[in-house]
Amino acid sequence: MPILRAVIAARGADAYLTISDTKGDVVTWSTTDRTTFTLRDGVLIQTRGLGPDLMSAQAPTLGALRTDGSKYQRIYFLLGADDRSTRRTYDCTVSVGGQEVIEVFGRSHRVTHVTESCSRPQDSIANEFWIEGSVIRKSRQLASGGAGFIDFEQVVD
Amino acid sequence: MLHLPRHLTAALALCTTLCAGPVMAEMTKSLNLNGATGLIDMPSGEMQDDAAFSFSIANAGPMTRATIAFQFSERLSASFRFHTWRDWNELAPADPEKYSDRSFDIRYQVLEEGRYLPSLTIGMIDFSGEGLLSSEYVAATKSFGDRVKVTAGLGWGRLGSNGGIGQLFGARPPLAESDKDKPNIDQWFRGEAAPFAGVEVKLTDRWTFKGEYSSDAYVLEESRGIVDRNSPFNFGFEYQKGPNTRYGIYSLYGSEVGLVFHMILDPKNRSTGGVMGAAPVPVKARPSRASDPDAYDGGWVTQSDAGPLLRKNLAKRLAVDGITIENMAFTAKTVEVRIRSGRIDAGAQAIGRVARALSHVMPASVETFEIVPVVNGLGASKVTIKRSDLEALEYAADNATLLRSRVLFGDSGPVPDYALGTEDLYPKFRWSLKPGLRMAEPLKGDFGARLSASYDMQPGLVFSGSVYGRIYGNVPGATGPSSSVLPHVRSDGGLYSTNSEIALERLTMAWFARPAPNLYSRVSFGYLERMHAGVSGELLWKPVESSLALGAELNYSKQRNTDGMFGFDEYDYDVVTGHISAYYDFGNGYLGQVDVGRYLAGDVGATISFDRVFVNGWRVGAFATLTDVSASDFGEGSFDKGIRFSVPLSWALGNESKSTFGAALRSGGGDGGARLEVDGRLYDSIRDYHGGALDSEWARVWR
Repeated sequence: MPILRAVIAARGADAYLTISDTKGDVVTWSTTDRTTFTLRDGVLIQTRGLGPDLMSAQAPTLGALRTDGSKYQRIYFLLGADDRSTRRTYDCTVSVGGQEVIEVFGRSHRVTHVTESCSRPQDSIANEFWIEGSVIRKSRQLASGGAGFIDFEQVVD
Repeated sequence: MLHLPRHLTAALALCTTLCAGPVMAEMTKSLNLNGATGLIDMPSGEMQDDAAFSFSIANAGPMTRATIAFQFSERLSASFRFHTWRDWNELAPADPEKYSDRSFDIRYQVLEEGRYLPSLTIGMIDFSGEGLLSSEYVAATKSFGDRVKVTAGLGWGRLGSNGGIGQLFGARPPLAESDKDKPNIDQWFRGEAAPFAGVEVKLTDRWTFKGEYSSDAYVLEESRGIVDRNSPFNFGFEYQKGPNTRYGIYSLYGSEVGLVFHMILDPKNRSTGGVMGAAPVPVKARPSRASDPDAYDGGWVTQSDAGPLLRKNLAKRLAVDGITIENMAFTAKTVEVRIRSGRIDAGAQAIGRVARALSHVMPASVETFEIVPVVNGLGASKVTIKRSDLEALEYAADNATLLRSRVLFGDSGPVPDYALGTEDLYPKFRWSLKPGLRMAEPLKGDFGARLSASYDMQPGLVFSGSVYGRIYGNVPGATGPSSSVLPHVRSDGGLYSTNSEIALERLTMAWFARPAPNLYSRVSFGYLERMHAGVSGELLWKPVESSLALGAELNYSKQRNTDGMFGFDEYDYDVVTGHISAYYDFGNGYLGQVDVGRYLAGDVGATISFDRVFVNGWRVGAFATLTDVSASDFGEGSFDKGIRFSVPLSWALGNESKSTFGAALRSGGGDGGARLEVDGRLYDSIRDYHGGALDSEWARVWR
């Protein structure tokens, strides 16, 4: 059974998620108390149940993340404390780093470290991905202003 | 080369990742003893953040001020204050020991602070009362860096009573007895003008020093011998505890100590950062028509058990979200489901949950989902969603906007003939026992327990009632009828409280119906409210997507006994009342309403009200009623005016709940301009499911 680990530092939360829905390349992962994280090819596009949630996103494809220097617009559609949809638009650039060996749940993986640097007039963020072949083995991705970044690890494929 | 201190560069670096606002930290826009934005006793040129709702309780020597203030828009704020003077009889033993007055303030910011220009605000304090606090002012505030703010201003009335520089706009006429409790227009900005000034210094993140030169001579209090004003200078310290509370302690006028506590709430934002609650079930994708054409065959509709089975499956899925099915009607291509949502506080979210549940339950041939939210047995609107849009947009960027552009809002129409009602839904008995609170003014009121029950006999026909038992109250009891010369339709409220520890508040039969498209009707009969019983009929015209609604109400009522029981012999009073109403949704949550008609005391006039409603359900508004009753007959307050607010518990707790807490605070307890308090008035019942409200919360359709 595939298992994804999600750590939300800002919440002190650490959970192992199982698949609750699959539609093509989009997989929704759920905690036992039905907080869900939806990823397209490993790239976070939605969360539900965090409070400040990522309602939808215009996010890069896995292909774009594997291409050094690719540039695109990333848009987060957030539902925040005001119960309204807030849009955050960033201009992003991918930089593909070197090979690394990382350890996930006691097993070593040879991965490529990818950094996605995004900026808008108000602020800058960076999402990070550790890609093994065509699988995002590990990542650190922004969910929302309130929940901050989430660290994902694909523990069991 | 510019060298920045190390901690500042660190702060800037941090801000590039976390802060969304301006880089320079702003000083808090603090409040004064009057609960208005300002220094200690003096106002300033600043405003609170848009929508800030504050509650302040201040003790300044022998005076207590309790104030509720609301930042109605970015530039306009208003407050309601309850002011008590103790030892009022110090020099006049015949007078009461305490004297109380209610007052309204209004402030408008003419100029926002710029790089060189200060913020500039014009304000009026107690602009329509007895005039004990009446003042007008112009105040300017400029900040220097992020630690120092300087304010200077000019005051009239009380704020022009010390150190006047002359009468700029002529003499200030005394307030005629007949003009009390009305907007005292003749006095505004008249008489002696006097300057005031002050400074605010932020010492640490939490501590602030304030000092001011006051232009208020405290003439009234000195003449009563309760304040010994030795100096125009006030100073003190304030302590900010978290974003919501602030304390202050001051030396006032060289002789008194001032203490203040402010609670500042942000109705726009939930304290939990967003609405909590479990994730929805994902949309169930249908197989493609090419891969499984048989799945799209509509033959299933002819199966006799299809209806009950589908309804049972849908009910099971909706129960998780506290949604019940009133009716379900389907063809091979379309399903209409009428739902009642008991828990989720946003209509759009409830609709989204129903749509997803339908995607799991309905056979693939059903392409159109028609969802009708039901309130008091009435279809409030109909939201039509194409199933293929739901499937296509679930994971699309900006899915809420895209879905909204493909969804239709319309009139619910009648229940289809072939609808399957739910047998066990009617008749339905429900009851609850909850703590109840009745607020008469800030910090005054009573709390007790309220036992409510309702019996839904069939859709739209409800028999219901409630009993309230007082446990504790601090409103002084009334010993006899009020001295009002009008029929005592409201002014004996104290007697009703005193004479009934336990009272039957309501016991009514109500019938809600949809006589025609866009029309809603209500007839209520019985013990309508705590002081009056009778019959009330209402008709409302409100197209789902219209900003305008029109209504008419006609009532006949008799006044009830003060013991809260069934009798009518204490008052021999009955009256026909009625109103024509117009409601308008100005957008962005601003609602206006005008009612013209006959009020309970037989007086004729009009009520104007204006409310601001937030997406999360917070509501704050003001109202005023003018009728043909003379001001002297009306009693204190002269005409009925006040503010009202309603706070959803889900805002504070972040959970899914429709419970609210609220109150209306009035300038007086007069008998003029009073209306029956009837449950289930139509506009507010159905508005949540109409265009303006659904659109404002539409982002939650995918929540």
